[in-house]
Amino acid sequence: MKWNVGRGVVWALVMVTAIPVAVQARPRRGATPTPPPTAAQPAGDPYQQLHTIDFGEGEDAMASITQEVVAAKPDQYLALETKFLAVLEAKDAKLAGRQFACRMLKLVGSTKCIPIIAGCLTDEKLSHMARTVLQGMTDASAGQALVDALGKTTGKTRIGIINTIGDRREPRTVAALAKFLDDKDEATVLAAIRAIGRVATNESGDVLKQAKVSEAMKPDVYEARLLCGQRMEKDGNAVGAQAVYADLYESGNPAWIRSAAVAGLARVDQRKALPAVLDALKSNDRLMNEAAAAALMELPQASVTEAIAKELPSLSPASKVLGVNALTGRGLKEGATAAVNALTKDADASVRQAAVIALSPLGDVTSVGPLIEVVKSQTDLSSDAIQSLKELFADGVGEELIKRTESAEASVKATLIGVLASRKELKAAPLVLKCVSDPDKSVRLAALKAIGTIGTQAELDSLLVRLSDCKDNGERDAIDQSIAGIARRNGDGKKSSTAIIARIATADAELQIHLLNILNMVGGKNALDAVRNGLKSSSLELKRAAIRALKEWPDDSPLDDLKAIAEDKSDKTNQVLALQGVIRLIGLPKRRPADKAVALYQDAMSLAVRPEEKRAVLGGLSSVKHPEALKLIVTCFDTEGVKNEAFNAAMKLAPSLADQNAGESKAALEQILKSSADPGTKNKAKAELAKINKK
Amino acid sequence: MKTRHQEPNLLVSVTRRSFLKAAAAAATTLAAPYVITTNALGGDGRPPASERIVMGCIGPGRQGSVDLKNFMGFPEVQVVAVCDVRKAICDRAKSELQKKYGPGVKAYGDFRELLDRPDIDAVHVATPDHWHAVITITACRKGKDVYCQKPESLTIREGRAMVDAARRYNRVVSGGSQRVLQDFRPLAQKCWDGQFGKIKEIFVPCGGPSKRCNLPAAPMDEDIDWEMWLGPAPYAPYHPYRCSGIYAINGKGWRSWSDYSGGGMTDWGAHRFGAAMFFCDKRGEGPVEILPPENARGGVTYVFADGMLMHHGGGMRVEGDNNPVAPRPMPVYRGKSIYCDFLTCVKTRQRSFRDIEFGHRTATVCHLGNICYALGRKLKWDPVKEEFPGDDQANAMRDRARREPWTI
Repeated sequence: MKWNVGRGVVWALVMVTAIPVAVQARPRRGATPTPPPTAAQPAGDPYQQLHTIDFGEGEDAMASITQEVVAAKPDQYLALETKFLAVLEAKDAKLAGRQFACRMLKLVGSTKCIPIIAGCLTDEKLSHMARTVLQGMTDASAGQALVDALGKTTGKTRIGIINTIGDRREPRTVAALAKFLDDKDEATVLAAIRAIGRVATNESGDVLKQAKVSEAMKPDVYEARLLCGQRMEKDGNAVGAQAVYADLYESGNPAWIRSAAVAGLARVDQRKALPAVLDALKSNDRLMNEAAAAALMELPQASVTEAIAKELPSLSPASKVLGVNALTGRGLKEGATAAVNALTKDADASVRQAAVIALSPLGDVTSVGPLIEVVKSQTDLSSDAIQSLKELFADGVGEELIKRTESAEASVKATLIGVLASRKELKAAPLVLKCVSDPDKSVRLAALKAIGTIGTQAELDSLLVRLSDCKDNGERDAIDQSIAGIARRNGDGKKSSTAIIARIATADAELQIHLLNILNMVGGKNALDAVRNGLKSSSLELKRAAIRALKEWPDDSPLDDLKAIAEDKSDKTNQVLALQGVIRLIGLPKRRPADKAVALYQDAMSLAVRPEEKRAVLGGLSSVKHPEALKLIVTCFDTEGVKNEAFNAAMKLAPSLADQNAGESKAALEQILKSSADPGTKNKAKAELAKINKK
Repeated sequence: MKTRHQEPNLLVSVTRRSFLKAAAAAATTLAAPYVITTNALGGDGRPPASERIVMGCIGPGRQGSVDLKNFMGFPEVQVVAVCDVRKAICDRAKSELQKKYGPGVKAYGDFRELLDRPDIDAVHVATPDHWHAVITITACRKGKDVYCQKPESLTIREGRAMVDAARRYNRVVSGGSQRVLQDFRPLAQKCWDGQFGKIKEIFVPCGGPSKRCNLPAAPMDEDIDWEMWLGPAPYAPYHPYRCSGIYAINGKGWRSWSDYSGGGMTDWGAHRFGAAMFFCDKRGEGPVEILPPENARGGVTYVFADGMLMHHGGGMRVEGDNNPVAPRPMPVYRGKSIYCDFLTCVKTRQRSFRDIEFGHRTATVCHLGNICYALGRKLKWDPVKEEFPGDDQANAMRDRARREPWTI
């Protein structure tokens, strides 16, 4: 494993140890950040220092203590706990020190600390941190301390305690919480309602059911009961949950709670609940429909799929859509496909669309026909049908598509060829190659495009032959792309490039130029050697085609070749083309050391005569995070025709160098302020400068 | 070309939801007046109001503004409200929104007021992490679908409560990691295509845990509702480095501090551990053991029930037994982006790519790593019960008490 920095044990401290406020170097995005240095040993007893520290103080003491706590064995916890409790009891201790003591007690505290923490619960500033200690303690005395504090607190502090009691979920606290259901303070009543719901016992369910609250709070009670049911479900109390949900599903209750309850019912008693859920799907209430659909997604039995499929034809259009979506959400094809196939012909457009989309996951070989019918209709749904055909994976689908493509009429055939290519149906290659000679141009073009995706060496050879006879530029381009596509998929492309190179030997000049252009799309050593041979050609056109091919090469292998041509002053056009290639290739490799990239750009800049190439060099330099790159950019600040690009490049690069090279970055920006006449540029430079100065 | 998510008929048939809105309205005590814009009546080539997804944005700061722009790019979305505790950010976002949606866009400093609006279908939550659970759960209660930025939770229990709320109220809740598919799609495809065979190990690069914040009180030089910024987090005095939304985890913003964030472990971990969980399709699972680093230069290792190992550290890579297994169709977004995926699910009521369960399980892996780093020892984990069997000390770290009056 590669690591930028040390971690491990150090991070054990970092997690609970503050770092000095001094800012660390900015880490690369997503990279492992440098952990802070281990804290210095504080002078004096760090625990004693906790008694006096305020926010922002005592970092060394806290770091040292944290280190000790993390390293401590359980049998040492008691001694540590005593020291933290002393901080809480100290009259002079400030909030920051007390908060820290509570954080540490969360790690090492025992029942011994509960009486003192209980005292902190009534302190409105410290109550929250005291609850932090008690919340995770399993001992019942922690819960009792919270209950006892209810009578000694008011307002928000008491609400916080009620919340934590709810979070601890101790059944015996329900009675204490229930006392607040008729409190005068609405926020307290609300907190109590929710806390009782969270405890989620049969008793808390009953207390909520019988709660006498104001009309305005009834929805909150419903919600708490819903939560209660869900928690019971998770606790394995299916009987209790079922009772809660059944009660909430009663017909007199509001639709929103009934709809949520029906989903709960479905989860706890799947077999019995199915009729109720299907009724909900058939109802005229949208909330019930949606809840039913959500519930149907969750029910695992295969029979549920069949039940939904059976109901689909008789549902309202909106429920049909929900039903189809539920089937998709269930992800089980068996029993669903035929019903969804049928809905592709539904009278309602939204249902048809839902069905067409759903056939992507739910369809099988029987869905190919219905989907092609939708493609043929050339309606808004056709693109959805095409997409579903592309994504439909099931036994025999590929073969069925090939068969139907062969017999399809031209307008659909071109589309289906595209589908076959998208699906990478390799078995379709012979058919697609045949379609390359189809009388219909759209079919020919679709086939030429597709063959690059699914063709093999045999098809590549055929395409090379066809290329000789092809006079249509559009088809030629398609052939080029397909040959390159096949070659790229053929391992290292060696076999393919060999075939292309062999063809060059017998081709006329025009075709040779064309084939050189294909080789740059293929790449690889063989191809590169062949293009290099082209550089030696006595034909200027061929030589120039070779330079163009190298200029667009997929990696930087021909950098030196192009550099040599760029330095050769015998042909200006060749020089410019080669220099453009040099600049492009320098920018390609992501891992080229920055200093090397600068050196290469410097060479390119010295060769550049026209502003276009100088601008391209500046563009490349702006991405090289190296002070020398900035220096080189600055040299162009006075060069007419490129100075604006130089300003922009500097403004892009300078901020990213500012952490390490603040002086150079600021100097460059200040020079822009002096040299530029454009107010927009000046403002931008000023803003960047201000950011650097703020650091 | 009309994309699937834009199909108006589908939209009409399933989007006009009022689930729980009756309840929300009944329970509302902070209902704020709002204005229906002229835009809401249609025109300008936009779908009429009955076909729109009406959204509110909570936290339009750095990442929030990015998300917001993405949502604004959908013709069916109408953002009518924005909320932030920083007035300048809130006003800036409101001004941007008004340019597109008209003067009816309202700004709020308290998310509860925004969530009380019955006209809002969905909200986008991009606050600091310590607010995610409280806001998301409240939004579910109010009948809103939620797109919540990653990491979805600050604690393990908060994440589970978010999943429970989504299911309890039948809400679409999507996490907000766009990078699972965006950054690692070819690698993911190879995994789902079975090219690695049975996956044995995955290496996951991301930063480390957050730290306790010990910044002093500083003069408040911005218009911020500090009490609301802190919300459920422990009381602490204002300092700009405590609450800045800077992306870098360098001690200058909330992502650095454990009261508000899990640090690099959850920030980039939410993307990359998410990707790893997706590669091996353990989106609804979790490890059974977490091993501390073997040495000062190592990271934690997660052990799964089938023996697969997931390492914190190294370049993102997958190692398998190289005996190819049958390919399976790889789940992808519905549409071209995670935003489109969420909006489509709002319409179809299906679960999103980054369904909150997946988001929660991913965040849990990150939190488990942080707990293991903090305690420096091997931990056993029960991913079904979501507890450390027989380990009170570690169990206490699954959650934190929230400052009054906040609860989940």
